[in-house]
Amino acid sequence: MPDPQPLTDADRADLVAYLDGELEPSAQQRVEARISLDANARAEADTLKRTWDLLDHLPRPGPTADFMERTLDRVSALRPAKTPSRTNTSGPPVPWYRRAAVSYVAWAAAALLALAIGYRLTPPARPVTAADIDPDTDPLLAREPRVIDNLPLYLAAENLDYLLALDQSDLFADDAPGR
Amino acid sequence: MPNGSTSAQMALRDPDVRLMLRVRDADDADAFGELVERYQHRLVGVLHHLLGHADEAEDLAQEVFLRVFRTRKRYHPRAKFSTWLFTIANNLALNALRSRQRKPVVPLPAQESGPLGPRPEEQLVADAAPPPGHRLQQQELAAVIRQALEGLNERQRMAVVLNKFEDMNYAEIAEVMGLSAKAVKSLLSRARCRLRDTLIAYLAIDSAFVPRIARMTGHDSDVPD
Repeated sequence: MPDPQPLTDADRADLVAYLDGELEPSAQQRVEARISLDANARAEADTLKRTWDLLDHLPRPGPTADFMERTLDRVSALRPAKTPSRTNTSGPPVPWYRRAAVSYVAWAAAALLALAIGYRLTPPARPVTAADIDPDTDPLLAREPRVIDNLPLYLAAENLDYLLALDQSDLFADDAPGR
Repeated sequence: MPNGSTSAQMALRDPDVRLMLRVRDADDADAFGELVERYQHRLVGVLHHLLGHADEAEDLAQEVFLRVFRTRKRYHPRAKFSTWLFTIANNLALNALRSRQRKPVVPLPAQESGPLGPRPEEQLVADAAPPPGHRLQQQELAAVIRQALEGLNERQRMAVVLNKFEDMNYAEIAEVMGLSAKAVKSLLSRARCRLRDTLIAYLAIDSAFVPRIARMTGHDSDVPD
């Protein structure tokens, strides 16, 4: 049997890789041959293996009971907030043009309603006539219905004296025989 | 080495990748919850071994999951989901360890608190174990092993934890740590030799040991008891 050779760093690396099953078949055979023939190599492999097995005595620490819950809570805080109206709908999503049409119809209906209410609340725009005068509440106006009937003319003239002068003149005498 | 499209196809066979795609494409809360449920134990366990503190490990594991969620829109499956998850964990853990080195904390006595003190689960195991001598031995052994683990540098510790407790092969560890498989081989070799040097006096305590090397090669172990 040949004298055992001192192990180099490369030899030790091969021994460890051999113990880990990481060597190529040819290198594996070479290491096995060395172990068979070299007591130093055999002792080295032996102590390395036993040292590795010692690590099995270390306990396997695990997470605390609420680790997962705490972790998922923190993750959920990172999630983007979802819009409830979209997430709560059970049917298919409504197309944008249909939502726009519904919106326009709603606005038009609201405008028509406002117009109708305004029309009902606003007094009629037609001129007041003598027939509108109640003799019980306003007897003076009821006695002089012409004042009411000619009120637009009086307002347009803005001057009662001027109107009286016109009434006195002969200019329209033939045209107004009834006056 | 598979090319991009092949690795992507392989990744899509991973059910966790498909869950993550649901999170990416539909913000699927159930899928994300399932991922957290599946990986919480593994992630907290790995980070606990790396950092040595239960609270710190949980905080960092939570940060890993939050990072996964925040970057969901940029997720592209190129490997197993676990590889991507532990890549994020590796980066955050290394940052935390470096930050801790810049702001060293005053250690409490080992038996009171901290990474060297008995943890609740260890205490439960210890309380359930009948022989006091054996219990003390187990506690002491766990503390010594943890101390040996903490004696490794950050990268060695990460490689050891992923290899030992996550059963990752060298290629997966390389991807998680951004190294070549050759570099991982060297890293693990140095780490294991250092662990062996630290723990050599405790090898005899491991009564369950069966010399597999001797069985595999047909030779008796040359290591004296």
